[in-house]
Amino acid sequence: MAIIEFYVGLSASLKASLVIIGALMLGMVIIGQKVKKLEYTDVPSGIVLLSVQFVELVNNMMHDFFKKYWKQFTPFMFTIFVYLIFANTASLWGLTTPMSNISIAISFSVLAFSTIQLSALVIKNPIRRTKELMDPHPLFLPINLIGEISTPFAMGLRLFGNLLSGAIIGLIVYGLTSWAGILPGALIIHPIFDVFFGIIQAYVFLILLTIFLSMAIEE
Amino acid sequence: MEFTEFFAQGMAYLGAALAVFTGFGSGIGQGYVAGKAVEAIGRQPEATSSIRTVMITGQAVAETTGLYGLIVAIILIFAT
Repeated sequence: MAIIEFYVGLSASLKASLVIIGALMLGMVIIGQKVKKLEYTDVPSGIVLLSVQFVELVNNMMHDFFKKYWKQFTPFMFTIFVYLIFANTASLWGLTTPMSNISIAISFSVLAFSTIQLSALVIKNPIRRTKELMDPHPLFLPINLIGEISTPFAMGLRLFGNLLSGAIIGLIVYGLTSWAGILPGALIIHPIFDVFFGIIQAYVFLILLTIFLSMAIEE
Repeated sequence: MEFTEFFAQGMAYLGAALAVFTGFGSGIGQGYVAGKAVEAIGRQPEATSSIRTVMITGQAVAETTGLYGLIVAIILIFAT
């Protein structure tokens, strides 16, 4: 079939990204149905309890930054955070990490840049936004514009560099210690480079996007 | 000295080795941040989790410039 030929012809990280998105969509719909069936006096247990606590954690973090437009932007932030967590630890499930492909990492930085700029243009007037860009003096306009472009660019490149270096070092260590089986590489490389650095980079992307979005939207 | 393709490849490898030196600065910076964080925890132990959060955030932002050198080195090795 044409769809299967299209899927097989993609590169490895795109395949992993599609698998992760499909699994996350399915999982979230199932958890959402279970949460919907709870009464408000029930005590949740198991995976419903974990997801409710996780959503509470992200909500409390968002409340510190967004004063007024909290409800519009928190679902977006939460989706990106959950996708990044599962994408960075994807090599524990036998997939290639999607962020080790430069197109996917740059697309995240384009997403961050366009979100910040479009939200600032829609919520504030374009005239007021231009006045903000010329904040101390109108000669500051090029410097502020370069700052607006370079920060999302650095956010995406940070993800790319961390995950690509983890993949390359994994290749080298697996190649050197292959005479002793899989354990020397797997016990050292995957907990450090994938779990630890991956979750930290996902958290840093969330915090930076929150900070820049709240700086551009809130007064 | 004739400029063949081997010359360009060899110079690219030397350039990649020089580009990784930017990790030196980021290592010093992140270690300094961790030292200040430990000092702050010693002064006020009940703010430990918030100090830890800010320390991790600051270190991850300071890592970016070291990563730029890595990306330049990878481009030089694999694309020349």
